[in-house]
Amino acid sequence: MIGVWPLLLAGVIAGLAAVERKALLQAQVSRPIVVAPLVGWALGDPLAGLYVGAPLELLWIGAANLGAALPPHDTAAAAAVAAATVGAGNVELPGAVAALAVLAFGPAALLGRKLEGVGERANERLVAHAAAALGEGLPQRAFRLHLRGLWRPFAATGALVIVAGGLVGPALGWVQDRLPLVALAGLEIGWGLLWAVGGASAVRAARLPRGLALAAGGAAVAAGLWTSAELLGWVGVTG
Amino acid sequence: MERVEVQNGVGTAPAGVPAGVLARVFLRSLVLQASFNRRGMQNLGFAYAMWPALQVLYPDRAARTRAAARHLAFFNTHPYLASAILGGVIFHEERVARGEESPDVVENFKRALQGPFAAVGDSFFWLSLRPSAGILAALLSPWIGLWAVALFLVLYNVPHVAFRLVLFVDGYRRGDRVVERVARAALPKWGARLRGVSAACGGAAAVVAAFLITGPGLPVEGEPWLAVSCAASALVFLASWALLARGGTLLAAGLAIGLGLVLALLGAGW
Repeated sequence: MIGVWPLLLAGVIAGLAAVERKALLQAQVSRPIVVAPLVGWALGDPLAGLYVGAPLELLWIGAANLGAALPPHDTAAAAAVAAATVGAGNVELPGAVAALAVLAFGPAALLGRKLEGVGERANERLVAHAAAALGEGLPQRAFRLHLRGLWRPFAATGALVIVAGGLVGPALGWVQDRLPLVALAGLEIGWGLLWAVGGASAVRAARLPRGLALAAGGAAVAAGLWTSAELLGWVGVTG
Repeated sequence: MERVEVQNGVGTAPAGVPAGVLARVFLRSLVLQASFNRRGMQNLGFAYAMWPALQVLYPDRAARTRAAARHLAFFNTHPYLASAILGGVIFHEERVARGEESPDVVENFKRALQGPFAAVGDSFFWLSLRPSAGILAALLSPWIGLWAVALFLVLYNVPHVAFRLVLFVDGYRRGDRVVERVARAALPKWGARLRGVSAACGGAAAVVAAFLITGPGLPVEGEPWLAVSCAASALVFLASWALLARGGTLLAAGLAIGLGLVLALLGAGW
């Protein structure tokens, strides 16, 4: 069971990452490959966070905020999946728990997108108040309103991660203890196959007419490297 | 600081915005989208970022408020390339404050550049640099561990921060001619190359999937399983490629997990 302080720290980190995603800096700390290890670190297992974050990075690799179109909220989903996976405790097949966490929190990406739209509509009222304050000759008050838009993504994502790590994670640990070995193995295999989904997502995101041909070339090179590494006995995976 | 008389009867304005104030505008531009909204998009963020410069340029309170209100008009561009427009707007606002230009010039400058800069920035940063840095780091993560996080942040942020800083300074120094700097960077050409890297790495990710599902702890091992895992990975890759055209990311993920369960059941009865 994870303590209160690590959970709160994970919530703060995820909340800040959600703010960073669009409203502040946008140095991509909010991407799954960064936020998931950070949440994992807060909860005591950064490598488990990376194990979750890397395939999720690929899954949502083409998610981009273009104009008014909102992408799925990859930050909230990845942070919640990482928190739930680490919150499940030490398990023999972490991919199985991560796959369960994806099934539980994948839809959070769509919910997050919906909430982001609600936040943008609420920001219209902030701008109207700011314009009124400027009209009254109170510019300082007008510009203070600008920063009020920051709290919503922080609070929503932070709360989601606290629930994921503190409640859903232990529940997933309980579930996986009771699943038959064949189901756990299936979930573990499914987790590995998410990398193939991510690969397809990357080819789609590239939007190139010869994308599939390039992917075939990349696969051939990777397979050659893998075979060579196996022959030389170099194959090994961190964590 | 040198002060010059302005022509429009609103007091005196400085000849230029001091470096410290420029730095404040730049730092404020990092929260450009804090109040992003459907109607004006980055409008309040732009006015918020400009405020320290307007305070210097318009000593008269009413003129300053009018200038700030001008920047509440619709504005939307790529957040990184917005720094070029911010720099250019300060360039023009200095001239407006001195009475050398009409405020319409500022409006026209913003209106002319926001669309093209949005297209260039979205295509390069969101759709090319970020995916290629992300997939490289993710692919290497099973071998380099947490260094993958640092690798991603460095690969992405060195160009990101450099662009923001250079374009802001260039916009301030050269005004409209900042467009030449953006054109010289040839972002569409570099973007196409980076997208090629992403696509090739996408194929490699399918091989990583096959590699991961042949690991220890799974129900079957050996050459037959290796062939099955390669076929499963290829099948998931192609099915996902088709599903993702309709935006079905979660559906594709569900398919992968479902196929994993089927394979485990088949493997158990092997």
